[in-house]
Amino acid sequence: MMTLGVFVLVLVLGVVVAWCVGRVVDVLLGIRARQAELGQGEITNTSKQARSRTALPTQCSTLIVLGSGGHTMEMLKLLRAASEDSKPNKRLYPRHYVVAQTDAHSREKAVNFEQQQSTVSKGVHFHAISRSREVGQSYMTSVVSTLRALIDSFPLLLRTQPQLILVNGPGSCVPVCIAAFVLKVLGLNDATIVYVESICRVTTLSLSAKLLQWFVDTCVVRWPELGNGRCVAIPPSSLSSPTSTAAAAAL
Amino acid sequence: MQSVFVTVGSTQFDELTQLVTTEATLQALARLGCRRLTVQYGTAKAPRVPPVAKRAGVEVETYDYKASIANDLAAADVVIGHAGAGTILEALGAGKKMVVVVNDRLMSNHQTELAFKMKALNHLDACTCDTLLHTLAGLPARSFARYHGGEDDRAVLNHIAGVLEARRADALRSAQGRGRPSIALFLVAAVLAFALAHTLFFLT
Repeated sequence: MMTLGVFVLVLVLGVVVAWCVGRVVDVLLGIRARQAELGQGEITNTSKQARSRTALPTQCSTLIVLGSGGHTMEMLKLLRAASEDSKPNKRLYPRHYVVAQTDAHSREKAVNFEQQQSTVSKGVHFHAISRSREVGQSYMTSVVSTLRALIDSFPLLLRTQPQLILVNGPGSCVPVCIAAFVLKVLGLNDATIVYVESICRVTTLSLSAKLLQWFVDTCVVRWPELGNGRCVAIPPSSLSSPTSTAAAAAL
Repeated sequence: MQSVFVTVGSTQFDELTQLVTTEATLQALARLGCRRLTVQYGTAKAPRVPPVAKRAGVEVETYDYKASIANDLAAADVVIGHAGAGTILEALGAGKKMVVVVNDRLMSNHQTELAFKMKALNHLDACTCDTLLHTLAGLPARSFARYHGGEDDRAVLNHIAGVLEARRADALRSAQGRGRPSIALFLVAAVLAFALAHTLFFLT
């Protein structure tokens, strides 16, 4: 016969575990449903009806993870297109840039980029987290530094409460996305996580994409060969536009 | 091709930066109508410009690194670059004829994937140092497909906006109680029901 105390303890633990497991399954199912729906390139009627009733917000608070050279360049290229958009909610401001502590170069590039934007300051913030992996760092120590970056990510996400998390694959985006997923499970932040694979990835997914495709709301790849049930391929327009392919074929 | 710009980004590609300033290359470039050659040589050692350049009428400028190569890119007719994604996207974005020189001394250089893909789509030409002169000679006759990188970025942003709207619609639906049933609530209810049944069993 159990004592009342033990019974209550087991009950509380059971409820907590059941809730956590259920939330993880819920969130994963939601992500899967969203990926499957958008993977077919269309949004269903029901969501269109619902959409007409929601007033679009004018701002979209965005958290952007910058990484090493190439990744930063591609991200800023994407954000340049965003800054030029006619609709305010698609310009993705205010922007919260997350840069590794040791990465002054990326930060400088982003500062320069934002100064060039004609849109008057709509709120650009910079945040530093621990670097998850230096180039050439050994595997074991990078586990420790990734954990440190993960711990840094929680207060950062709770403080900034982004609506959109935009990452494109540097190592430091993995802890941020995992933290965002955990907060989503706990119901503390419901940011939409978007992973955009580097255009350099033509035949194989990067390690970050292989890991994160299970946790992000949408994973975008830039070449049709990489599209799978989870990752949506948005190939270069030159592949789909008939004029340029005809021109290419003529040569 | 009046103006040729050679760039290797922040890499060290001695073979290329030395090759483009050899007498043979300079003379070949002059024959192709080149009057101006700019070489950005990165961390490689500074190439020595041979006196033949002046006689051939090619003005040569070399520098190691600039924060932005946009001006040199804009002034160039032909861009010769390493397989770096940044260089490729920037040069194609500026609508330049481009030749990517693949560094075949680098093992498992996954960056070349993009260069070869772009070559297959006829956005640029790719070669190695050995075949650079041959490729350059054929360049005036080539026409490339224009690469519209900005449009591709807009397509990605439209997709992101679609996802945001769809998730907002989801949140609205579940707020109205029409969303997917919550498995978390179901599991919690199951645990509570089990506990209740357990208690009743021992009480009776």
